[in-house]
Amino acid sequence: MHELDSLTVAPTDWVDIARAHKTQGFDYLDFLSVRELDSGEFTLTVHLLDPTNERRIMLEGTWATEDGAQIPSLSEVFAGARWHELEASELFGLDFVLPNGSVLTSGGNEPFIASEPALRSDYALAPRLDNEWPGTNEPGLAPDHPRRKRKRAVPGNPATWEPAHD
Amino acid sequence: MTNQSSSSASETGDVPERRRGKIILDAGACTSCMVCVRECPVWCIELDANKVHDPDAGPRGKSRLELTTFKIDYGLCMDCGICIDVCPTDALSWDQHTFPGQPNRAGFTPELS
Repeated sequence: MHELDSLTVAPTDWVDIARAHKTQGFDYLDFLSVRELDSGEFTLTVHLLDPTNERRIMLEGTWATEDGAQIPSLSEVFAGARWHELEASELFGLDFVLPNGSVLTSGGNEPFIASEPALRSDYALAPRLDNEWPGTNEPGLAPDHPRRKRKRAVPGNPATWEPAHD
Repeated sequence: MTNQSSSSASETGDVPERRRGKIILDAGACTSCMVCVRECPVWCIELDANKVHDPDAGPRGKSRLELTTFKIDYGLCMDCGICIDVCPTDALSWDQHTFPGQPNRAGFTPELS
C-alpha cells in the first residue's frame, strides 16, 4: 500500500465522491480529520483504504464556515464517520448535516450541544493568559534595568486572544 | 539523579540505559541563559540566577550568573525534549527513570539547582 494519492473534492460532490470510492474498493474508513487554514476555511481530510488491492487515497474538501455553511455528513456511506464528525463539530465548531434529520450525539440520545470549539486558533488558552510566561525573567538584571522594561512577545499567543473570563 | 524523597519501582527498577524517563539538570554546566525556559512549549521550566563577581577571573575579575532556582514542573512536562536539544551547554539530559507519582501538586516541581 503505499502510494498516497490525494484528491481535492468540491464541497457539493463530497458524499458522492466518497460513495464512488467505496464502490471501487476503498471501503475502509481510516480516519476523518480537520485542519483550519490561515484563510479561516476548514479542510476535511478523509483517508480511505482498499485492503484487498492495497491502495489508499486521501479525499480533501474545503469549506468556509463564516456564512454558516453546513457540511454534508459521510455517515450514510461510512457509519464510522459519525464519530470523527462528532469530534470535528465539538472541537472545530463545524456544522454537519446528517441524513433523516438525525443528530450527532455525545453519549446517550441527547443531541449534541456545541461547547466552545477548543481547537480553533481563535480559542484562547486560559492558562497562557492567566499565567506569566516564565521566559520574561531576565536573570542577573537589576529590577530597574532598562532591558527588564522591554516587553518580550509571548511565543504562540496570537495578539487576538482575549481572556475568556475576568 | 536528583535527590527525591520518595522512590518507586521505576526509580529503582532495572530499565534500559537510554530510556527517556525524565529530564534532569547538571547545575554545574548551566549558564542560566534562559534558552530552555523560552523554548519550552508548555512553560514548565522556571529559572532564576544572581549575578556574582569573580575577582580571580582575569585582571579585573569577571561577573557571571549563579543559578539560584531551576525547576521543571514534571506535572506539566510532556517529555518532548526540546529543552535538551536547545541547551547550548548540554546541562539538560535524559534520565532513564521516570518521575515518580506524588501525593500533591507541589511535589511535581522539585528544585534541581
